Amino acid sequence: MSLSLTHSWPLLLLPAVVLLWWARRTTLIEFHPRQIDLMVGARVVAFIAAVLAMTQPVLYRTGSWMAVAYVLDVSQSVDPRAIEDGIGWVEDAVAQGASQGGDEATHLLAFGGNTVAASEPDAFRTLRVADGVVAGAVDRSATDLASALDRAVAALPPHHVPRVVVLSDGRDNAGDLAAAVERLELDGVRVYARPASARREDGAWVDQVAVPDTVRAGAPFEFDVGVFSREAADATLRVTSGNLILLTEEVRLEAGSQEIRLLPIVDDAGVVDLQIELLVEGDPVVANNTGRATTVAQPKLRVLYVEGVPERSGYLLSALTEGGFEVEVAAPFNLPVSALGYERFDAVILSDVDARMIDQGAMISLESWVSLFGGGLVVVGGESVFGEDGYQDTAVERAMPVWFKAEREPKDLALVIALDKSYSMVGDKMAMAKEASKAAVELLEDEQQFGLLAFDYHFYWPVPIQLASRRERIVERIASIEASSPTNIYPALEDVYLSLQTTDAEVKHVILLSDGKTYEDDYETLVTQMREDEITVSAVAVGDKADRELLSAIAEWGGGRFYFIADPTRVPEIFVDETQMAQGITLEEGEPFVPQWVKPVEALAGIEPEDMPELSGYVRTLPKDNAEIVLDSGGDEPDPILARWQYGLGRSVFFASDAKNRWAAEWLEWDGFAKLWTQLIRETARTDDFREPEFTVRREDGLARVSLALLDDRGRFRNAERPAVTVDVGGEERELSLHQVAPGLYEASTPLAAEEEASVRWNGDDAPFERHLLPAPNAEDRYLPPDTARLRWLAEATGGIFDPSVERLLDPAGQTVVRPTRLWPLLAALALALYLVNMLLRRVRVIRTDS
Amino acid sequence: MTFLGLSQTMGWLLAAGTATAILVIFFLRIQHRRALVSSSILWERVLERKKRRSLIEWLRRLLSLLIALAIGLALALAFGEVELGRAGREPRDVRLVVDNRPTMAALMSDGRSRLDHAMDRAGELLAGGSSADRFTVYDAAGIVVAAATRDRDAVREVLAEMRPTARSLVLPLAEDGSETWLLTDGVGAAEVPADVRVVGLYEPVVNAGVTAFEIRPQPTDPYRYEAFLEVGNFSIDARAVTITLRDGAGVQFRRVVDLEPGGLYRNTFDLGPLDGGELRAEAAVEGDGYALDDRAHVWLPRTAPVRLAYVSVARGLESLLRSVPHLELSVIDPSEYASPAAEDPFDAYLFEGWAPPESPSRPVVLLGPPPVDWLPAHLGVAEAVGVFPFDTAAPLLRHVDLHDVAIARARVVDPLDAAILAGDADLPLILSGLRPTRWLVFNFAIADTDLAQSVGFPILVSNLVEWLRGDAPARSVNLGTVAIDLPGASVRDLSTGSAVDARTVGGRTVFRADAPALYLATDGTRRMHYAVRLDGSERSMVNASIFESPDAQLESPAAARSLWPLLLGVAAVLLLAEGLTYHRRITV
Repeated sequence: MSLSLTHSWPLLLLPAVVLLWWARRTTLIEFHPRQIDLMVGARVVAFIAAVLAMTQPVLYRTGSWMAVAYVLDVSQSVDPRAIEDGIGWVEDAVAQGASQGGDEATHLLAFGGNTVAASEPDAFRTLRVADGVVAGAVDRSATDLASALDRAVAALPPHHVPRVVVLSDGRDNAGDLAAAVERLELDGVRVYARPASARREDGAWVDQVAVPDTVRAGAPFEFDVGVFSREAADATLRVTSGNLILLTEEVRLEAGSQEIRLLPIVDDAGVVDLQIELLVEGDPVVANNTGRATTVAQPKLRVLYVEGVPERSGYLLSALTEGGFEVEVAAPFNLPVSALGYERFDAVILSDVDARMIDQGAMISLESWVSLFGGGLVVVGGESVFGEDGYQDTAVERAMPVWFKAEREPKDLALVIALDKSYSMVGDKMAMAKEASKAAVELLEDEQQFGLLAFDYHFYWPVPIQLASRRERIVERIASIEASSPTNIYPALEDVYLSLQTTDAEVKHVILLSDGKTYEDDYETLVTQMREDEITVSAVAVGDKADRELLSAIAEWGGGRFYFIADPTRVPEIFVDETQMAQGITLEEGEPFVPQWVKPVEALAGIEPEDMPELSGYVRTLPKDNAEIVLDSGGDEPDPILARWQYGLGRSVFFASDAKNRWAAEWLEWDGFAKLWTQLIRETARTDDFREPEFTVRREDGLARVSLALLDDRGRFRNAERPAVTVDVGGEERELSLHQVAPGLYEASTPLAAEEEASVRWNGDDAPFERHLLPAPNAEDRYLPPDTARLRWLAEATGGIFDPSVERLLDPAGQTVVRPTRLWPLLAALALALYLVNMLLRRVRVIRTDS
Repeated sequence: MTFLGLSQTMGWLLAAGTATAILVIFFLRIQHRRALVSSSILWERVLERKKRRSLIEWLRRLLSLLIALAIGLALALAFGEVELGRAGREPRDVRLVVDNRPTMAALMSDGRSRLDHAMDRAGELLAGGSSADRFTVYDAAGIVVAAATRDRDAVREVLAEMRPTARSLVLPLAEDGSETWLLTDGVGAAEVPADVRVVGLYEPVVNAGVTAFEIRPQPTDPYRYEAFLEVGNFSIDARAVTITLRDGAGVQFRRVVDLEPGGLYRNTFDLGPLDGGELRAEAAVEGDGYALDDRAHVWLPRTAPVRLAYVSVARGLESLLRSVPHLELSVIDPSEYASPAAEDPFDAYLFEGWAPPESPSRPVVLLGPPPVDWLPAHLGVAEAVGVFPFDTAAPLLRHVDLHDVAIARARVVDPLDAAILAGDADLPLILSGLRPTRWLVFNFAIADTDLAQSVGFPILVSNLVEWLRGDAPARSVNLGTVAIDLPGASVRDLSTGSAVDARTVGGRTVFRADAPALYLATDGTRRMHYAVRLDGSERSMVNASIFESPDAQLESPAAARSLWPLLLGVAAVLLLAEGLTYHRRITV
């Protein structure tokens, strides 16, 4: 306790009191001296009191006078029963405070988006409420706890121990609570938080939707939907864009919060407004079952599909098209010879393309496009992609994660060429066929076996099956073959079969060449029998007069390859390839195998290893250092089946088998075929991120803030520009100029109410870009359980108590304040009273002389 | 006349009662004592009484009565705290909204700021109010800075503490029975409700200011920064503006440009040649009356190489680290590692497959370390770790895709309060912590993964070096109360070198910054720079007032005068004087 005087100068009047005592001593009044003493004493004290009152003394007392503001959350999210319970609790607290006899100053406030005072606890029940901003009513459509706390602090009288009691679910969605807490802490206001339960009538709702800023049209994109459910339930999630249903998914909801990942597909490029609906049977409130989000769909990935065997392009083409790619099929000989020629594509697929069919310049351009422009290159194997004459030492090989060679011992091979020497073969055909046969012999290892059967109507063995080491003799015998007689394939082929049966080679392969029609016979039985005895047969039809239908069938029955060539000069090339393939150095064929998973990668997401069907062939390669081997052939010496790596700015993938019905026939029937290829190519394709401008629009403090980063073609900041955007709000367009705020960065803002929707369009240099801002969802209809952690933090940060009892609330807990008390009114009253006494003593003889 | 200490009725009743009491007492007949006297004396007394009833005697009695009434009423009215000037008026609920946005710091013609003038006007309003009036003070942001009180001195104290730091102007909602006063310069004040009384405090001011000063790393070279500077003349006439760009080494750029009213000077600067550190842009014009926008700061990350000690037996990262720009690499065998002395020659450490028993004092990255006491406790080993979650937003993993990384073997540790960047709480694979030093641990050896073959590995290594460097451009924050996500940090004003009073509130460090400056916050292991400046939208508005005329009028209520001190004085003097006259029988 202490005393202070506001003014001290009146004390100078006090010495004048001696005048009164002097007057007493010299008084002419005829009262009893003691009455005169009383009279003068009263006046002296009255005078002193008046003088002291003029000094305006203030008495400072230390005490624990309480001032409590009760802040009741009545927003939509709070259970009405919890509000009623809270009112009852406040009534008890107020009554108990009053019964304790303190001078508690009590203030009652109800809040939602705004705060309204109540005169007494019972008045909470009759306060006006509204689901929006209405004068004099509590706005239940939001929870601004920060403002309510500010208002409570404003209501608390000074010189009291300040207490704020918050009765809320702690789910505030407006205001800056952290800043309010900081102010409370500065003001020494303790907050006591009492949790209020949320409405319980709601079953489930969409809590939040997190959509990527940009997605790819045609490709499934992941996004998470936050869902809350009171109890476990079956539900349906439906994703729509406009009137289009993008995805409907049945889900099992668990009780509580959960995130559900969805994979919808947007077909068209551009801004996409997504609506996510949660359908739960028996859900009493459906207004909160919808979430909205906006994203930008970039154009579909563009793929250039180059197929070596165009008639077999349908499988992969179909998979890619259905997978959301924009596919352009091209012939190998027609590829761009400039890297810029590939710029309109994101990925290039070379499927079973013979390297000799691609211009060297095109290959170099392709490699440059991958390394410098970030393109994605996928090379798929096949009959045409093998051998040292394939992509070895080419630009494509440089870009690939594998070397096109194999470090394998040659197979134990018996190769037989069945050569049509009928009349029609006279001339170039025969010459080329003989040269091709010689070349095949040259390719064979010494310990491998070679035989050549020449046939017309009859057949004979110019070169019986023998070791290839006898090359000179074999070549001489080949040279001696002369054309004659019509064609008759069956007996010749049958004899080849019989002859090969006598050899003990592991691999037996027949190359049948013919240019004419033959007699009908049961070829299917013969060739199928050969196949069963592990003798493969390839067929080459030379010229239009060849029996292509039969020869093609023989190749199919025989598990070999069919070639049709108009130009006999290609015969040597085919014989060389067939020989190499038969040798099995760079090609493995015939033994079905299941690719082995080396490592799980995103491209194989959703594919189970045990579901992967067999492949019946692949091109042997050697992996490069740093190549990532995803699949291999298994066994002791596994070969890469699926390999990939980063090449410069781009990525490249090599798939050693094919994507057709030759080696991957079972894959075509497999569910994972399309999934694997679409995922693989999507991961390999060039990402457009660096081509997409940093053009963002966001809501902030009632504004739509637009930000745009501009770079030039060389990735440098573009400064001193004057970009502008068009903002469309409710059909009303307005131009908004952006101003530069940092190197290459431009910004602007425009007012946008929470319930308004805006479309912002920027006409870029090459194409327009658009962004949408959707209305902010009503946060109040997400009836989450009380955020006790937040309320606890609120209480503890301010020194208060979470979920206090009334007794603890009213306990000052050592908090004291200093309260000033003005003493001058008391002194004035004292002066007045004593003056009246003085007056009375002048009129009433209190002490008589004779007494 | 009104009573403040009592209700009006009670006040007047008290006055009337006092007057009645005095009158009753005054006219009481004094009971004289009985005495035997001679008849001559009796007649003398009768004559004397007649004499008393003369005019003078009547005046004497009247004067005595008036004095008595004056004393009594003076004391009674003083007790009732009577005031003159607002007879019958009820006490007011006055809400003072003091515009404390930055433009209120602009100087007026007398050399004092608009805010100073606002304080004066607020003081006048307080003085003009009565002691029964309740005052609530709001700042421009609508925050209550002084709760409703009759204590006008307390309100004055609060007003004196106000600083021009608010970001927006938000008027409190109208309430029945209250009157709202807005003291503002009118800058950016669009619509003021009709029931709000506005006190204008605007005078045009000479002003040139920095409206934008930001740096960004060039997209093609993240170690080379570019700055954008925008300076404007916001005076009402053309001015020659001196623009200066300076760093620790001195002035790097200076130019004087003539700018029309509203004219802007924009330029970009390649900061490649600079060493890094504080960089300040200044705009100066003669007679500038608004200092808050005269300078802006940025922090240019140090471009000096990071001195990194790579402690490893395998040295598998050596070649890659040598290719990282701005890195001074020293490769040390663990057997040669010694705990650094006070002068640590390295800025950071990278331990591979090894960890010292005691933590170095500098930031450290550990790749596949063995268990040591100062790192999270070792719990076991996990084999064949497949796909795992990772934080794509973490700067360390920026542009790094760990989706397809396979880990053959990883240590399982107890993460406690460490931040998990990859993996999860059960199997934290990459995690970082702050104690005892800033550390980052990969709980697996690089050799046990195919991470090195992944596309992003070089980027990851580069990010690692950046993490170790720990230097980044300053974050821009607005004037006023600054809250930063670095709890328990100490804050220093780099302009003055002095420590700033900072507190931790709600997991954030909070400090007050009333003027543009560059601040360094550090919690012992992390350093973050904060450039405090005006919000961009506030910089060019100092003369954009709704008041066309500078002669803003103060609307003021009729001043009330408290009578009670005077009444007390009167009463005291009369008590003394009448006491003297009574004993001399001048008054009765």
